[in-house]
Amino acid sequence: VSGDLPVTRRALLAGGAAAAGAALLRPSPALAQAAREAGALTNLLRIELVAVFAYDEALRRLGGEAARLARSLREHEAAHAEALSEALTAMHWPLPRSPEAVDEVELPSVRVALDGDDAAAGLVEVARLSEQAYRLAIGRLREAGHIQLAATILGAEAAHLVAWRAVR
Amino acid sequence: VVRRRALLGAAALLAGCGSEAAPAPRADEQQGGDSSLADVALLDDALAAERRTAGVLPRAAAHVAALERAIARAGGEARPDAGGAQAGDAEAAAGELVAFYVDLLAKVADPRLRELVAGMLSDAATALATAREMPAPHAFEEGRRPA
Repeated sequence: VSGDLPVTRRALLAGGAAAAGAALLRPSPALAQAAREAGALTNLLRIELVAVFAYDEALRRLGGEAARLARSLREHEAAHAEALSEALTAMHWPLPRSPEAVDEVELPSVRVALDGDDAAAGLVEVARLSEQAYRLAIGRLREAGHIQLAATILGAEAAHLVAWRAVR
Repeated sequence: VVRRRALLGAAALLAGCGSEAAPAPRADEQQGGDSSLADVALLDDALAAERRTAGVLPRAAAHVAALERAIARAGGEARPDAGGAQAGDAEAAAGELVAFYVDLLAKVADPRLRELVAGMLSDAATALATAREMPAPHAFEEGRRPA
């Protein structure tokens, strides 16, 4: 029995050290909230970067009115990406990288659409997914400035869908 | 700067909407933590705004019903329709709603209610774009003028 004591003591010490380590590693509620906020913004930025890439891809094949619309809306998407990048930079958060090829596009339905015959289909799909993503993100974000940023962009994405519906 | 850029990006919607949405303190902070009470008051405002667009915007009736349900779920009681001026045309009504919801969203404390309101903002933006016959790039370019 006497031999058990050192083992128990060691176990207690080890357990205590592990608990102390876990406490040190566990982020404070404020840090955890900041990480959630930044995570939500990062997801939105990823979609915007995909959108800009999708417009660049589609513009190689589009012509006429659809191309004029695509050029105009691409600028909107680029402005959204810039605004989200600024928000993340202000939080000292790393920025995701843009896709450089179709197979790097993280959204499977957009990837499939971009590989298809209808050049605008990928753009419609991006706008549809963006609209959904912003609605969900608005529920998750906490900072008033970020919520308003997402809200204004959500409005723009809804308008993009209307525009594409009319042109196609 | 971020908000100004976003407004530029979404300018097609917000031009003329008067959406100078100053970031407001969150409702729960404003009301000393009683977020559900503050949220009910905000939803009631939204309800009044939606009622004014009845017959003008296509989703108004659905929004009114959804807001009444949300208010009841939050333990509140929707104010009866006080009547008042109805919205005149779809473009103006939708434009006002977009600006209204962008402001409102920053004040609603409950994440689920924010998602609900975000859906209504999306519908209002869709109605605005439809009313402005936005498909032509010209409309978007025109919308890029500072509001």
